[in-house]
Amino acid sequence: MDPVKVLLVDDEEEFTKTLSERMEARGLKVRTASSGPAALELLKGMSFDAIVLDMMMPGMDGIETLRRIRELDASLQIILLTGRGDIQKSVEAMKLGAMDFLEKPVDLGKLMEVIRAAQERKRGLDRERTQKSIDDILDSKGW
Amino acid sequence: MANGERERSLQDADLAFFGKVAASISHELNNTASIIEQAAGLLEDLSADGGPPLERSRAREIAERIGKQARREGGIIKRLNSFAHSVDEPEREIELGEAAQAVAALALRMAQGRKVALEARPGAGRIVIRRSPFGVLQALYLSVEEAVAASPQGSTVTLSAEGAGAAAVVVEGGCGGQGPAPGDASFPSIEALMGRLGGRLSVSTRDGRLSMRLTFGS
Repeated sequence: MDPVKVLLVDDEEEFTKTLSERMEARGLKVRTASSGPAALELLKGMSFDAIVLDMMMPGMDGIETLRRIRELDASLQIILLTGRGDIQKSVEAMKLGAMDFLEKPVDLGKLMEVIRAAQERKRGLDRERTQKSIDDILDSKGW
Repeated sequence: MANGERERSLQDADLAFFGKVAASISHELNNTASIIEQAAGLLEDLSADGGPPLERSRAREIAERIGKQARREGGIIKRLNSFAHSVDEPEREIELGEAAQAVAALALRMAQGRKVALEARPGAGRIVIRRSPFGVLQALYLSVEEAVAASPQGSTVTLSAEGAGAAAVVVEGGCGGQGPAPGDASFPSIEALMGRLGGRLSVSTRDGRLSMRLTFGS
């Protein structure tokens, strides 16, 4: 089975560096980005099972990045990392289509669980999309 | 507005400012705590029973990461402590260059969020006034916030202590940001605060840039 592919987005590079090392040691394939625009650039050429996105980033914040990612591909599964007491923003993120949110400092075991759930959901959506494409072709050709 | 109502409104503004700074600092502490926790977790992963032996250079590198964040955290706590003690006395001697520096540090995260840099410039020599430390920090911080909002990403907001004539701090920012255009700007809450401190705020535009002079007198 392919490894779970994760994009980790946070302006704290020491955080992404350390967390990605721990995730890779658990068999995940991790890419990191230090800003919203950098994440969007990576998403143009790569596919991920889950995107772990920090809410508070300078310039384009987590909410705006989430909005732009969803515009790019609504099937992408986004997990928000929030500070303590960011309940209002977390609710806003869920309304915008985030899959889940976790408070920082994040427990890696819990994050791994949510990432696995994201992978299942993403792959389910991909299968549905593929099936729909096949159905559309079959319908249009009248076979 | 009646006197009692005005007083309550000022107290609300004081509390809102205190809360804003405390929330910002707690976010910074949360970030350093997150990094330390992950680095400690990594050390634990690498030294788990049954794994390959942990190389000394690797252990040292992770310890350095933890040390770096602990030092960063120490700086943040020092800022928080100094801010918390600003309410200890109704008045005390304040050096305006140091106050400008303290506000630049307190407002750093807010400015970074909008990708604007802050630069505090001390005056020529020590410029000392006797005022409420909390009030001075609040007036300067709110002015910086307005200047940052008026500034485009990538620009710099400066806080300059000036002692020639009356003691003052000049906060200058660019134009083209999300705040009001410099010519249309008015800041009643900062004016009220400066009135309470026995000073005044004057706003002008210089080469299209917003310039806020907070004059405290001698």
